[in-house]
Amino acid sequence: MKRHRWLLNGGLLLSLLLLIAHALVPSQAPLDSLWSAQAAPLLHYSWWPRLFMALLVGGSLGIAGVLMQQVLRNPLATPLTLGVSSGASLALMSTTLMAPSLLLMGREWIATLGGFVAMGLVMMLAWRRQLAPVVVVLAGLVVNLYTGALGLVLLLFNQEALSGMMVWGAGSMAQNGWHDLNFLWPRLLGAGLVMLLLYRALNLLELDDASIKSLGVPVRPLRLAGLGLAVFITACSVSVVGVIGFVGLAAPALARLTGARTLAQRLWQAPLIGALLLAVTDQLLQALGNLTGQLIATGAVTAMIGAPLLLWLLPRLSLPASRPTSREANEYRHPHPLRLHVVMLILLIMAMVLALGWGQLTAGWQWSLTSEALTWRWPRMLGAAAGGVLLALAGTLIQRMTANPMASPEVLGISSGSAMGLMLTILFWRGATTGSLILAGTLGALIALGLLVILNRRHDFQPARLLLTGVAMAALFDGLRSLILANGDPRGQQILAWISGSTYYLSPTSAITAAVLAICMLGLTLLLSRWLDIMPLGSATASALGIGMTQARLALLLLVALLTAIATLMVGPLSFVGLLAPHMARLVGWSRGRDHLLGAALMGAALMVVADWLGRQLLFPQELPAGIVATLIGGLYFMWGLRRH
Amino acid sequence: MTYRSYRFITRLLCWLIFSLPINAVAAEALAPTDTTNTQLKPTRLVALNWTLAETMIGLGYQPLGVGNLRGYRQWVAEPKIPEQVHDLGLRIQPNMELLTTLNPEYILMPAFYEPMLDRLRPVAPFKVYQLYSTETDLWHRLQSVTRDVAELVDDQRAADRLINETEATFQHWRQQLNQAASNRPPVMIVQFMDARHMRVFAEHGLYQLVCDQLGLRNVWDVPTNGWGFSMASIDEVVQKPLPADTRLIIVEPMPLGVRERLQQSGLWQLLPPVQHHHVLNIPAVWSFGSLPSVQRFTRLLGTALVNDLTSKHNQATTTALNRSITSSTHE
Repeated sequence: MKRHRWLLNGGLLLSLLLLIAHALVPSQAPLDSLWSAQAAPLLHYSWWPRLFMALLVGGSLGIAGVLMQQVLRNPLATPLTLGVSSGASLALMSTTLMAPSLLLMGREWIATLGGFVAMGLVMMLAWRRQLAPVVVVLAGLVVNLYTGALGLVLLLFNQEALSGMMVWGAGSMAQNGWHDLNFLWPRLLGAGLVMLLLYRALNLLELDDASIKSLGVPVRPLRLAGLGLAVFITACSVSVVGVIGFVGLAAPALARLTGARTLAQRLWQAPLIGALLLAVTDQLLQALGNLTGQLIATGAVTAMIGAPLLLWLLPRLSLPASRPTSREANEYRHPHPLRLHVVMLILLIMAMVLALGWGQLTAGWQWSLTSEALTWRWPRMLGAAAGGVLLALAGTLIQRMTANPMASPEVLGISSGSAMGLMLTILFWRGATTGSLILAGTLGALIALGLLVILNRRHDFQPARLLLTGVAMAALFDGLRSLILANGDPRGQQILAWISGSTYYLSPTSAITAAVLAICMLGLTLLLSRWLDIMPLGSATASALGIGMTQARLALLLLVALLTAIATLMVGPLSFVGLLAPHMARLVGWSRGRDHLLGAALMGAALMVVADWLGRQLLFPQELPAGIVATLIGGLYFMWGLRRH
Repeated sequence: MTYRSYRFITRLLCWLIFSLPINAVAAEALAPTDTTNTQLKPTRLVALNWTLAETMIGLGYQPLGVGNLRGYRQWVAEPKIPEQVHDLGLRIQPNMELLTTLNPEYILMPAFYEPMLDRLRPVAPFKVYQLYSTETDLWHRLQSVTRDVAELVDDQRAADRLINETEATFQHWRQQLNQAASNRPPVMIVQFMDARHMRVFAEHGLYQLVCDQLGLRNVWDVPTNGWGFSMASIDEVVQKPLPADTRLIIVEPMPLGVRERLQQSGLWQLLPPVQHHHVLNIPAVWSFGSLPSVQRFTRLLGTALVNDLTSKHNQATTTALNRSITSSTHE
């Protein structure tokens, strides 16, 4: 453990020093004038601020990550996955489009405000549950998806106006003077002092609620303080340099993986690793220079380097044993699930008929079941429904398998792999047809699955590791996507249209194939419902009842991968029906394995059909992608359900 | 939280979802310099992207539908599109049902759209055009595209007229530049994305086409993408050694707040054009356009450069005159 830590830190520090020497030596200036504005203006105004900014931002993101993981007790919780960066991004985008004069007062203020509003929404959703970790994580995820979906809609329709925003989104660390650094460091210093004051109380958050209260510390204000601090640090950093992916997750994870146990140890190791990681990446990029005329933004590259680093480390080191997640005491179970199924089926059929017949044409709203309109509509509706069923099934399987409410098939990384294949094909292969795009998507999904299996084979496919692998792959995809979008290539709109889950490109053949597959898969997963009832009870209980955990997990993993790959080709990787449908089904009252599966499938299908229809009609002739509308509708229902229960 | 406040928030969120994309973008208005708007002949052709729409209107023909019409009016603006033209939706996802109802004769699109629009084949035959890429000579490419589109409306004379107009514009401004100064200064053309990043335009792009025709040397030699620009951060631009008389051409729109930040920035003051006050601002021109945009950019660039060169020339002459007067009074 200690050896790994010294190896990691020493390696990073050495690389940083070498790169600094490489940057400074060629200037051939005497040592004392390497700083001055007259003798070395480029160094003074650009290089030094950039180095300090990288160290500062990397360290602060590391600290924010540790704080958040301490409060929420979940290694997947970082301020970025809880909506801060997408809130900031949405705030900046809407201001640029609707009130650009506000930008004059400073982009940083608006971005910080956006991040705070997003986090405020999260707090509001989880307030009544004493900011319980599970609820905060869920609420954060929904807010993140929601603001991300809204941001994507804005981007789809205003690509030219928002091209400057895309550069911010990729996290370029280029500096224009000391202005940004002078904005950031006093705020971070203040936050650091507050953290030191709260340190002893924050240590107590490792215990459960009852123990904390019995020690005389109020739980909700403490969690609020911890989360608020983490959000403040992240929002300030992100507002200045843009979205730096992955350091907030990788630094605490690497600190933990190299042996830091207590809060104090993590609080000084994670910022150290984070600072060094970001500084080394940034210096490396500067040393490589501008070879291709493309802008290589540090934030995106950090994600692309940090992800493989984490993937490489993951099989070699052991994760601490996962705590049992506290289950909600009053899980609602409906007394007549079968009747609910029938009602849901009727609603689904009604939605399908509506989607096929009622729509806008040149003369306004019309009811037209004519064959002409139908030829366009039925493949899209069928494909959307099939995609909804597949994703809902995959989501239910994975949530019951990992007993983690944050799990969704997209989080496993398979849809990210598929989307990466699609993106790279669109960019580099000029003559790509729809057929070759499908091939590329399938290939990407298979590679992602292969990685998932290979890296987790030795550890029996433990859920925590699976999710961490998936998150690393999703971070890789996000980094690549922001990098491509930042360079302003007009093909970016093509890429965005594909990955935002539009059913536009579905042909009748692919829709029918998907529908047939969906029904077969539904039958297949219903056969596995016994596993799904027993696995959430924990691995010990499940083994005692005769389920071979490794084989079962592998089988379910393969099934989930297959379902996700097909669904991604139908509706894109960003629909998040796989997260929402199982939760919505549970909120309605289906909780046994078989009921949950069937109910989630029906809800997923209905959600996607309605989303597809709304997306096509709302802004006629513009079309909103079905996946995004599904996220917006389902997210609202989800937030309402979170408040109610 | 009470039911009422929850209801309010739901309504707010619904408003957010459904109205954000519809709101008009408050981009800086493009300053129209060409006010002629002769009657366009209607056709049954739809143009999926703005370059092809612009070509058709430049030839004097009105398209049946254009992709993302609202965007065209903001970012291309001229030549103007009449109100009767239908909006087809997103350029890469033209509304299938609307297209079927409109029943066009041909669908015009750039080459990189074609693979994704298989589903539209039953509606009408495609006419696919290779526009911007790294392998083409843009000037010849734009001419051949103009002639191909003219072929569809059976009016080669309109194509001849448009091409000759463009060549006449080049000729006129070449002469103006010759009169203004004996040797042309080198140029660098940028467009700001935010206070720290900009697009620098060079090879393969529309602006470079105009520079080549006017005999201007572009100092940016970093490889560009197929659309004629490369993204650079401000320190990369400052690191490039520029001749002292380089003219820095900034094409609008400039994001709000950037101008003020640049005044404060020490890095920006290091650029030779900024130090010698050789910075010229030009109103927005659609950077991936066709012959009408080429003409517009030539006019705008020519005007700005000629004004700058003559004022500098006048300044130099005045300074020399003052020096000779003072020296003569001393004698």
